Amino acid sequence: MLERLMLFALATAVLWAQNERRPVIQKTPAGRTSASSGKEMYRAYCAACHGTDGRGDGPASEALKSRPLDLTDLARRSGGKFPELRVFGAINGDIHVTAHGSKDMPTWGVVFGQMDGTDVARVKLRIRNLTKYIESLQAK
Amino acid sequence: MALATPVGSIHLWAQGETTSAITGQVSDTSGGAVARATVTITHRGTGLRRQVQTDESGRFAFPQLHPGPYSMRVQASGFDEQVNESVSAGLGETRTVNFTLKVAAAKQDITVGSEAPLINVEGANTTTTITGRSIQDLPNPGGDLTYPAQFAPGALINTAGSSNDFVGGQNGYGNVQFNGLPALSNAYIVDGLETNDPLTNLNSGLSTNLVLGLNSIEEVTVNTTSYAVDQGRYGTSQINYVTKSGTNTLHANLYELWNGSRLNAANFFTNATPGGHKPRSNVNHFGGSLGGPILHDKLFFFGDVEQMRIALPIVNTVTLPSAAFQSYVLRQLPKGGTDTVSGSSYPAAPDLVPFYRKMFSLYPNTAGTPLPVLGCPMNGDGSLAAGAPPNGNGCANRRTTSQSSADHEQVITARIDHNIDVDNMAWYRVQSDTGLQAAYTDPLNPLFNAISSQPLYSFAAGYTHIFSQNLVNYFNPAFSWYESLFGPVDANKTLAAFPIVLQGVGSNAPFTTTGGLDYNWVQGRRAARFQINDNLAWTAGRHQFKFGVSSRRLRINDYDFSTYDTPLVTYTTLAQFIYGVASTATKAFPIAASQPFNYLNVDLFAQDTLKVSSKVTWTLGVRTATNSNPMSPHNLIASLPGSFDGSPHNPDQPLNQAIVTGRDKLFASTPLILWQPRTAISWQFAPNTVLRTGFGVFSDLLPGSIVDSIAANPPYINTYQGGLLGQAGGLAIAPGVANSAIDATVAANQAFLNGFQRGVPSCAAASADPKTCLPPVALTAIPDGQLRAPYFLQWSFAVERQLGNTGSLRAQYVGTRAVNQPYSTQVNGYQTVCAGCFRPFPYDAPADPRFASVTQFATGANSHYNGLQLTAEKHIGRGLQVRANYTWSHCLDTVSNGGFLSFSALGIISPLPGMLGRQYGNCDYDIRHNVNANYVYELPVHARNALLAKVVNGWQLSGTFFYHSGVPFTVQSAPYSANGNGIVQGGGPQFASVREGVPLYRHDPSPGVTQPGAIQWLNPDAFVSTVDPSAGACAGGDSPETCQFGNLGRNSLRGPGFFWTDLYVTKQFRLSERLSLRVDGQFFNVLNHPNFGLPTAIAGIPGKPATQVGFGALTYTTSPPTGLLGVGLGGDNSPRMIAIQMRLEF
Repeated sequence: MLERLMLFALATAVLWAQNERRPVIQKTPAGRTSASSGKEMYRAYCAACHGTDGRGDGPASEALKSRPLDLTDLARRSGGKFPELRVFGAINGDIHVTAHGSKDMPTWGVVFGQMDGTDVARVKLRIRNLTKYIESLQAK
Repeated sequence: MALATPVGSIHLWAQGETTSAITGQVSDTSGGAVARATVTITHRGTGLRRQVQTDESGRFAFPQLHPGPYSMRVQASGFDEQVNESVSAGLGETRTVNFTLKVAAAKQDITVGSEAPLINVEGANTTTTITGRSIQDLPNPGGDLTYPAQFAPGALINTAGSSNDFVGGQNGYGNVQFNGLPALSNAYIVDGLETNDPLTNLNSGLSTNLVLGLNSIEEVTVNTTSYAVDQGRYGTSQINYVTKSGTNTLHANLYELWNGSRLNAANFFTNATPGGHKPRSNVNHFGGSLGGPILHDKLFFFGDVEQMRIALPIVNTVTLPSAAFQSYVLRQLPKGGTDTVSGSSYPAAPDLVPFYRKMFSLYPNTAGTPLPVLGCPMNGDGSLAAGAPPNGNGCANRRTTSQSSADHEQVITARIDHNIDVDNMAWYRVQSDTGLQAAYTDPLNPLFNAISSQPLYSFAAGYTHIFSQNLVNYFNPAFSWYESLFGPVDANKTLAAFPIVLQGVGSNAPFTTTGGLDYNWVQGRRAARFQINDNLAWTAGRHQFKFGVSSRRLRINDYDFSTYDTPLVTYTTLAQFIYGVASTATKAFPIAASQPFNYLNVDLFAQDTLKVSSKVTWTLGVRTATNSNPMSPHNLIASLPGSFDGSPHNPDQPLNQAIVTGRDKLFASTPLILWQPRTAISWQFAPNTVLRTGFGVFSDLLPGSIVDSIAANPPYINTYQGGLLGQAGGLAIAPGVANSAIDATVAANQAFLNGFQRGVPSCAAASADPKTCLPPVALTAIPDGQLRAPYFLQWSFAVERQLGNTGSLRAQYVGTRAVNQPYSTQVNGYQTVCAGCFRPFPYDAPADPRFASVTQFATGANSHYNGLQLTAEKHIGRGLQVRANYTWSHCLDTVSNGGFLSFSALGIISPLPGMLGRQYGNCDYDIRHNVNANYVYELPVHARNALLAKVVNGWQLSGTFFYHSGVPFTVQSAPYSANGNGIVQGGGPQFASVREGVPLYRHDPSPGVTQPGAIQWLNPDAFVSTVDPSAGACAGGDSPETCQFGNLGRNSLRGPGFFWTDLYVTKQFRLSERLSLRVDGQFFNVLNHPNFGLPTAIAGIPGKPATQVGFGALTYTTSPPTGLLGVGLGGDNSPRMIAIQMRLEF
């Protein structure tokens, strides 16, 4: 009987452990950053999912349906050339990325547009500087 | 588990003797600064709590602390929270406490800053963004591009007229109005291309008078109090539209909206009128878009096609000569005869018989209800009419006719986006907007119909070049061309059939106008617009600099110069019709049907946005505007050298010496530069709270139509009047017959042209020869010296607070002042009643007898506005999105809406001569309480059963709500008309008087005054007309004491309030992973609430109901300025209307 109780308790514990609540992403308004600093924008907007160093292991990554992309590997996977237009388009929203534009992740081009009002140039500058920063994260 | 290591140190400086301080820095494990972390300290003894955010370097500071033990907590997005429970701040000490944060462990909920900002922590402007989703979800009657602007703070929806059509009659102008400033100073800018109609500064509405193209719009941004100097040219607001772009993924939509009159309620007054029936109408609005890649990652396309087709009935009551009366006229013409009403004798006119035969052949069936007409010698049964003068009912028949009106408009938009590389991006957009407007549908003969095709073609492009991470340039050229001409399908054919417009004036001349509105046609303009905008942004340390240029060149071919090219002939008695006698025959002689005018506008701006600290942002900039003097490339501007008052009123001076001809510029001179300094400060004094304040100067832009009046002066446009009351002579109504009144105007014009050039004296000169002298001519005068350009001052003070992660509240005070606003006055008027009557008009003679009416253009009107604006917003969260604005305001001015086109149907834009100050009162848009709100609510039903889910999942409600208190208006007196006297060639409001102690409003019907079906609004006995309408003379007899304008102030009365709500009920069907079908039931004025327009406002005499018939009563309903049936096309958008839309999307 005791063994059964212990087995039951163990099973319950295992099940409880398996059912431990996955982290949930609480979305809040994006903070202001300098459009000139790709690093600052990356840390404010991207690091939570993609990780500070871009490896896709940010604190929010486990809450997503699909694991965020390892951004340090983009050049290698593109034959050694960093695909800057593709990254630019993914941030802007021109290119569909499974996570971006879904309920989990924003289309940053739209968010930046609302952040900077009608200043088209500043929105492009933000995306360009973010792209350049991501390029700097590529594995050597 | 977090492993942060607070590090403490003590510095004994910087604090006062009784305080202490805590400072420090927050960084991550790599040593990077964590900006915008929230640091909270709590005094462990008192519980006193303070909170700050770290700056860009991760630093924070708590100065001026009460000494003692504190606990500290640090929170940052994506990091574990850090707590230090024992921080001691000693007296006079500054303790340094640093924190090293570790990325948050995955077991916790993660806060990610990924949504659009809820509050404006740095920006200078009051900005409202309507996203693509809201554009699609929110009710929009007519699918009009200007409608999203109605949801901005302070937006006042124009319901002050029955529509917003430039061509129509009882209208207000400008769809939306802000902050006590003109509704004609809103800039509608699509992809950088300014789309306002340059002739009026109105939003550009084409064949349907709606602004179509909504399906191609990605986002709308409304800026008011725009202290950022890259916004400008139009000072009230800048409404920016961005069109959609293609992406790497193919997206498309296809939609159809249908509304038929069977789905609509009947108008309130249709229901209130016995026998009234709802007219039939039909609307189809359909289109679709497609966007996708041309070259993956680099080149994308987007295309949108939209078409609207509106079928409307045009219902009219016509009065036509009976067949028996036609025969009688043809018999009488060769004989001549006597006017039984006036006693005048008219000569035989056998030449006119063919003209009349032709006219009668143009009439449709003339059967109908016999109408008695004073002077009619026969009855409907063929018997002779009794009475002297006779009042038979055999001359005129009245009946209702119905014609159909079909309007259609189609818009095609194509856009290419090209990402050349990450430093160079470009886009190109072309648009074509074509269609056909049934501008006028004649009730007698389709030969007199007028149409307008109104095509518009535009091109815009944008090129972004990024020089470095701190420097970016945006180059934005654009071009547009459009035509908006109104006229018959074949003007030659129409004029060959009937060369004049014959109009009866007064109840004794009851026949419906023959010839339609041909005296107005061809009217309109062709306009070409070239724009070059460039914007350079440079970030240097804490400074964000912005430099730019916004230039515009306009070329307008103005066809309004051809008005009255077709003569307008009037008659006032039935006998004049019988014997072919013109009371007046007016014809204009323009040197050409249209005139080209050029305008150049160059705006330059420079601005620094300085980050004074992590919490304070200071924006300081200046915008300069150079608006050229309107230019005539043909040198065909004529005017007095200065103002009318400044000109010598010397009758002996020949007109060719008084009028300067051959000018190439409209004004004597215009300012070279209009300086517009602006500044704003944003202070985020608490983590989620911002205080913003600003002040700015904004230039206001004169509309292109300024040339319509000022440049339409003799000798390039001469207008003469013949007939019984005209100065040119002649009597017969037709051209080319003996004693023709029209031919007399032709002769007078020729005499003027010959005499003007030779310096022949005016007929007012002492030496004038009556045979050759020049009759008085009308003209418009310019101001003396340099034009005082109109401008606005705007200032504001706002507190904005974010609530939770989806909400925000804003309270904002806005003050504005408009200076040097334009207005026009009739300055050469006089009155013939008695010496001292109707001040300020002189008695018996004008100031300058060489001229007829003289319109003096001036810029001296002004306004003051103070408003409190409250805004509550909840972004989408838990399926609910809400935005609500309330404005409490007061606006005072002398002339509203920029002085050219009034905001409301009863607006007064032209003061009495020399009495601008008398106009000072409530603005036409002085609305005390104003609410606009909208919501989108996704019903929280999520059934899992597949079949059930198809039915109950995916429902959404969305709606809009508008309320405002009453629109101001003025009650005026009846005009003086006794014995042929009155005010001659004068203008301005003839104010009525108000009786002390009598309630101004009375809503119960007044016997003998309130007409069946109407609703009484004003108390008829509270207002007194100076002139007794039953006699046409001053009440109490004509004397300087009795014949004066009344004491009522301008806009001192209020019409009914406005309440309107629309509702969309939406069901989304997911047909496949990517394909969805959206079905909308669209309910406009869902509650079918009747909103009444302004009452009739010409007062009578208290105690004499016969003089007050209809006064102060509400007789029509009003609605938002756009609707399913277009704008100003004759359709009624005011009752509840239901449309069904289906929309396929992937």
